Amino acid sequence: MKHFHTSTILFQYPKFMYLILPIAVGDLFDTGKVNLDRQLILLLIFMTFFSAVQWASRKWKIENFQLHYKYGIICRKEMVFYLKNAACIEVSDTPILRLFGVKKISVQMNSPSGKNKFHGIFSHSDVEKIISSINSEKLRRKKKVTLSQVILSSLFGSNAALGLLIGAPIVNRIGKYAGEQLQNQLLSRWNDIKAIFARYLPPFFALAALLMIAGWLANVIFDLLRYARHEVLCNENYVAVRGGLWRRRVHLFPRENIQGLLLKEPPLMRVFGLASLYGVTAVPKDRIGGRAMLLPLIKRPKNFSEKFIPPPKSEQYRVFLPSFEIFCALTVGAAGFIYFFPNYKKESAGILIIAVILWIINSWGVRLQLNSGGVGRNSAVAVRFFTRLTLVLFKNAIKEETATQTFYQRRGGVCKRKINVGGSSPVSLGCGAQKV
Amino acid sequence: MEFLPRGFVTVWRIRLLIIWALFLMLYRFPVLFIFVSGIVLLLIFGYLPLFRRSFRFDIINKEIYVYSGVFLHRSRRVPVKSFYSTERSQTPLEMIFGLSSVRVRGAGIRLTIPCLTREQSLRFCLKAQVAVR
Repeated sequence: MKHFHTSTILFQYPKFMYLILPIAVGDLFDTGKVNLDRQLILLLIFMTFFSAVQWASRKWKIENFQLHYKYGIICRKEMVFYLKNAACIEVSDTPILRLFGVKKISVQMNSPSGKNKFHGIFSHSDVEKIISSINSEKLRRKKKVTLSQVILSSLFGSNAALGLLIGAPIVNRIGKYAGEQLQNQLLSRWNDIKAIFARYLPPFFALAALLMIAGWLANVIFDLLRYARHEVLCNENYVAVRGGLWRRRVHLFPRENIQGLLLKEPPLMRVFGLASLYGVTAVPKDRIGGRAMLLPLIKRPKNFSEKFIPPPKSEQYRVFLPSFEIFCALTVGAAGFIYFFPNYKKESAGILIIAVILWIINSWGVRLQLNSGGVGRNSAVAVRFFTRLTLVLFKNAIKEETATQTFYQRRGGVCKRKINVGGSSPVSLGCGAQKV
Repeated sequence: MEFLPRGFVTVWRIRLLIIWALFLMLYRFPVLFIFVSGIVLLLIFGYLPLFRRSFRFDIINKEIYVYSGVFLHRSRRVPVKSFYSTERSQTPLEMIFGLSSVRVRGAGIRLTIPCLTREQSLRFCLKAQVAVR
């Protein structure tokens, strides 16, 4: 078994300790201005020493698609990761890592909690050895993404960014108008506090608008740093994604463990007939798994889900979101309120209005369609609101499909369908569905 | 089929006694003391030996079979193919008695086999590694 690269200790050491340690050491020699408790200083130094020894004791080896990993001083542990079942293998380096001539390897298994993972710092030769032992075949480039495509997808991509762009000037204008009105009409009649409020309302809205635009710009910059020089490569066993400007990374996805494909069409992209394509692994909460961008900007494919699931074979469902149930509950609540408390008619009317709005959103706004192929066949879920999302789940990912019906759902002729996707604890897609 | 070693009962008896001692140090109410002591004694002399006797496991034809349960019997059959990782760990107490626990994680699987002897745990992990290949 081999030890990790020596610089691992530097990179795996908790980041906040880099801030505390100089103060602690300075205090120990009475040079710093902050006076920490002596016992605390000794504890910090002991923690540092312990952390260094612990990382120095870690060993690894790789054979037969299995990564053996040994660590621990007080509690000894020996883990074996079966790389055939890995959701994603990531090789990355930042300029700081490049300075030390090392790379970081993270192996993420299909666990939704994100706990079942391995990461370590390796020298270039070790990285090459590991990657060649995992994937011996050469990866061929399938698609290269240009910088303009990345910028365009980022500009139109996220709903938030688009909302901020459109919303910011409107919010600014309305804020200014409201502020002026308040100033003109209320200053003479209302007390001083309200006058101050009126005066500071427009700058507040202007600031909010500026922050929104700044957020949108930051999003574009982050996307540029993340997806610059983006490439999709593949061979028989693996799909790889390579790119990044600050943090260069290569994601290796075993083909068998890709759970599905996601087509994302934000409103502005839909206008121009464009879309973004993602690969889906069942690791929703983790940085390297979950959803991996394959192609940021493509021409929207016609009948995307039908390509994977031929319509005559699949069962189509129109889906009622839980807001239908909320609508019913709120209506009953409002009626009860009027009956028992006749003095609270205004409040009841408010509840009813909310219920009606929810009902309208549910009926016309959000459309969710489930094309269920059943166990052993591909399935697709499509959500249409501002952004249209079409998720195709591959047959190998679907472990279980269940349909449940409550008493209330039985009366309405609807049921709840769940597709359980592979993972340490199953990911389920639940919705009230009615057969079309 | 393999059984848990005698060391399992010893280790868990020591762990329970430590918890009991900590409890005694913190709380000194007579009623609670009698109640907790009763539960600890019941676990030490009743439940632990019965649990050890009921727990059996093995890897046969690329599948793990685990039978367990004192009051409610449970049998599990887990395919080795869907394993993500196996973990062999040793706490200081287990180290003294030459034992180690095995944890298995996989697609919808979380399995722990506690306090095996060194040979048993090594044999189990090796069998799993060969079966996954």
